[in-house]
Amino acid sequence: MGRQKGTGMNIKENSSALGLSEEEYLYLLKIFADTGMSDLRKIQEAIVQGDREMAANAAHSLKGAAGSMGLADIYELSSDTERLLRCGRFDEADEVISSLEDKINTFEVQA
Amino acid sequence: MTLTCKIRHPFPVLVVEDNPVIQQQLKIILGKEGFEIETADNGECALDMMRDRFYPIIITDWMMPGMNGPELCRAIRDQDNPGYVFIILLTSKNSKGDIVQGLEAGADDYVSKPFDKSELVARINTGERILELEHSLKEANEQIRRLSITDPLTGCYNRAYLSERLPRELKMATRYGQCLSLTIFDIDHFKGLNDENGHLAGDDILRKVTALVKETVRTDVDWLVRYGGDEFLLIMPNTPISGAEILAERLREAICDLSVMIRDRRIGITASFGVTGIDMSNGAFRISGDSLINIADGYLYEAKKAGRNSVRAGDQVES
Repeated sequence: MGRQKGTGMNIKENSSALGLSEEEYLYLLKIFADTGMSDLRKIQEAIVQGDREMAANAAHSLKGAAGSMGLADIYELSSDTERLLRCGRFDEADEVISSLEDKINTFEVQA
Repeated sequence: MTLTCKIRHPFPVLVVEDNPVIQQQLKIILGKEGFEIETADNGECALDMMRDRFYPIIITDWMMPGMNGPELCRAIRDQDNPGYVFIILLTSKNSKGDIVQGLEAGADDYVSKPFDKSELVARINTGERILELEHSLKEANEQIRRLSITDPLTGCYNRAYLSERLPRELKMATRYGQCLSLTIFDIDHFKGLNDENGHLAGDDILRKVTALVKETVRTDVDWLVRYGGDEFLLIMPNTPISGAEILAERLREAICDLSVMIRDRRIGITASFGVTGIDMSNGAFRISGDSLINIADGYLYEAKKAGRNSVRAGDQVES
């Protein structure tokens, strides 16, 4: 297994840090990619509707999942997103969201 | 302990979490620790599941669509549960104010997200210790309650229980327009038997007689009280005097046939019975348990006067 291409992440380390087998970790990663994409869509829809709270809550959910999977970079990005959305800084949030999308996309392809 | 097989975790843990990643992760990780995990996506769903099954340990997320974690805590504390529910709040909120708010809502403990597996397991184990403590306290309470209403020699109810339950039975008969019968009986010449054969023999006779009566009457309907030394009361809800009289006659015969062996010698026993009762089917009237016992006692006296080993019954108010 070792390092996943493109993600810069070590499946072996991450899974054992969480007390999971690599198989279990990959299973959860697949779920993470699916719900992560749907969280991102929720954020974007909420931004269109101008609903700060709904957008921030979706970012919060993404942050929680990333944290629980030990995905430090996605955790940081979604944490920034949540903070920006809570104070309605949609434009700044938008930039962070697109890099989040790129990251999560790589999982969708691989997991 | 009533737990028959000592499996590590005898009950399921309910995980309430809307995020599928964390929900599945908890399921896998806690499953490996030997917990049976069931999941709910939000508070309402958890409450629904609790209507069908009791979950003594609940791990719930804070932020969820619909009913959130603290609201779920409050709802659980407000409802009637078969036992204590130990709630662990899973939260990424870490400020003191948030934690206080969660605990005030009724959570017992909290674990910060991202959670650490061994910390979470340790906190669940704390919950189990508290639940086991609750269980043993409940058992001890039940035992104290049992002891407080039981006559230790015969296992019959005692007078404390009589004064608690007889008024309730009378109320029931009044409310539903039913009858209720009460029989008082004692063993003939019990004092003589005691003096002749010793108190241990007397105790043995009392135990044998009460065992026989308990076998003969309706389980969970009729109830037997040790009223005095060798005096017993049998209370028969929803039974007319005529029925109680037939039963008393049957008991009288059975006691005659009872063979009590003391030092290889068969001792003959007889008993006398006074039977009375009330019938509320044609309208209710007020009567106290004590007066009912007095009436029955009057008939017992008549049975004694008539030569003992007999039954006297009626509903005459004492003159």
